[in-house]
Amino acid sequence: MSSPKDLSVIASNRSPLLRMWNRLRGNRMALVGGGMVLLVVLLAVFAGWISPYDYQQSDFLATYQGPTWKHLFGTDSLGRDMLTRILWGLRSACIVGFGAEFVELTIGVLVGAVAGYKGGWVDNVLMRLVDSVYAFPSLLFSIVLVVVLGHSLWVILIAVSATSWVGMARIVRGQVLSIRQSGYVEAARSMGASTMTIIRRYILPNSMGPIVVAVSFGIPGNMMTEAGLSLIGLGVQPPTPDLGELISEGQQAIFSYPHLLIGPALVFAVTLVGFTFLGDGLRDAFDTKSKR
Amino acid sequence: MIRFILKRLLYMVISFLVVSLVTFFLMKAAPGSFLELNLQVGGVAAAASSMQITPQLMEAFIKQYHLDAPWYVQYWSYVYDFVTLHLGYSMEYPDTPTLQLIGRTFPISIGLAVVSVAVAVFASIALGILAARRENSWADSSTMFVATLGTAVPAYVVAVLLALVFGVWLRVLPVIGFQGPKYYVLPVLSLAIPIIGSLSRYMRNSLISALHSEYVVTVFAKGGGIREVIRRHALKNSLVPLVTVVGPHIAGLMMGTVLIEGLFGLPGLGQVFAQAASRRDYPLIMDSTLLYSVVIMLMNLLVDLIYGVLDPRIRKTGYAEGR
Repeated sequence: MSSPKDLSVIASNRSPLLRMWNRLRGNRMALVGGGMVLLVVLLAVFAGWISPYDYQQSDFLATYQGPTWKHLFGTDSLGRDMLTRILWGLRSACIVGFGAEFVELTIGVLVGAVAGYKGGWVDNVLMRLVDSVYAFPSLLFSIVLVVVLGHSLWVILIAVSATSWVGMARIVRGQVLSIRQSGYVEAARSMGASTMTIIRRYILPNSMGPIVVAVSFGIPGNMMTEAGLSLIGLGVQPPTPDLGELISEGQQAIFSYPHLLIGPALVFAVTLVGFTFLGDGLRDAFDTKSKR
Repeated sequence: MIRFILKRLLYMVISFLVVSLVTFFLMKAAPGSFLELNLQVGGVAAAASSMQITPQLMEAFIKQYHLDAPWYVQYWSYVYDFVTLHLGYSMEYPDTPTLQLIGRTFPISIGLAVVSVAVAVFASIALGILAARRENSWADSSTMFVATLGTAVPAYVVAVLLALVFGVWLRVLPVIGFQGPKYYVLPVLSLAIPIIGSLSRYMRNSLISALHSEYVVTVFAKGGGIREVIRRHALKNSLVPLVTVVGPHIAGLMMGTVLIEGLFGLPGLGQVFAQAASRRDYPLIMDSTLLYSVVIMLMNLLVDLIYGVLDPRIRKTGYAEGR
């Protein structure tokens, strides 16, 4: 690995994103993670084209088959191709993972930025709200939401993001609090910039690092919640495949047909590991304090 | 310190009210909610048959939740009955009082969580020391690589993989049921491994920064060995922040038991809750949601108190860092 110190000297007068990329490039694990994430996203987006079969198409002459060249991951109790179901399950995981993260990002940045910038009683009220939500038993709350509102994709998006936006709000608030006191924000304010302009033009771009890191850890977290919900039968409605549901089906057949469990569990684990590698790399890349 | 505790207790009460209000209104908004039953048309018998429960149980619900009264009376009785432990009965278990049900199942869940945390903390300290003693060596990077894998994967994926390896292929541990300490091994491991992943990474990093600090150099200069440095100086300073990192994991762990108990067939409250949710047993859902949130709030308070005792700086802000 080339010395990161030289890189940062060269890149120091470029944009923060470029500087980050230069650091990320030197981190092998982050690149592997990024590649895995990219692969998962591509597989999810093109699941309809890649998957060799239809995920609903059952074949009662070929139930519970082990892995063969025809069915790489075998077939399930209805003779459906497991590879196809796993690919579509990845698609569900990605939709909820990215979708819920978008919701969290919107609410979290809004609440955190306003609380941190306004301060005073606004900050106090918003932070009490954040603390209250923090005390919620998160998974239980998601379960209750799904039980009450039904199994539709929108409800699951809401249920997954309902409690996790508070983490983002806390991070953004902390960032805003420190940046607010900097000289360039004061200069902007003295020249008559409005609150929203200052937040949008100066504060948010400068607090990008921790936000990007939080997003890269938030997406796999959402996937875990979503799969956890469908593990106990409260996920995306069947027959839409879902990794949690596949794992739960496989777990019930653990003694007789372990291939039903190995496929989805390993694919899900590898997906999450990819996100974690990428997130770790991003954290190192943004952490200007610890130059390794 | 007393002011700090009082402030935190006040916040806890506020959080409790918010949690209970949200739960109550969600339950009221649920389609076919028992809190919104029309008792005028057809009387108790019709209401009972629409909920598919016996008229006797329906009578008990009407008394318990004041179904014939306006919402604020219902809400107040919900909170008051919870605080005074008059939990009544649930739909799925009409013969067992909910309090008795919780008393029977909750110790299993809490025990599972506490044992898992204990295992995780000790394992993380050991792994952290192992890695930090040989910084950037083969032992360090491979331990940390495995730890990263551990942080990435949720408890229920660890659980099914462990069950597959130890229960099905090696046949050394039981994968389902609850008849002795042996049945605890896989659930505890699957809950502990994700936590070990993140705690041991934290432990390693804080130990390494302690080992590079000047007071450690002084110990070396005065002739102390690496064992003495770690045991008597560096470890102490690394354990204090570890307390705060454990805190958030406890809440996650309590939630983890909800999924893990179902997978291993442990008769804990988590499994009872998961079943109550999928069968829409609203009274049980309401009570266990409150119970879980109180437990999580108490544990967070405990962690902050311990940290406040260990580190005086935290008493000013009221919150531990890293949360």
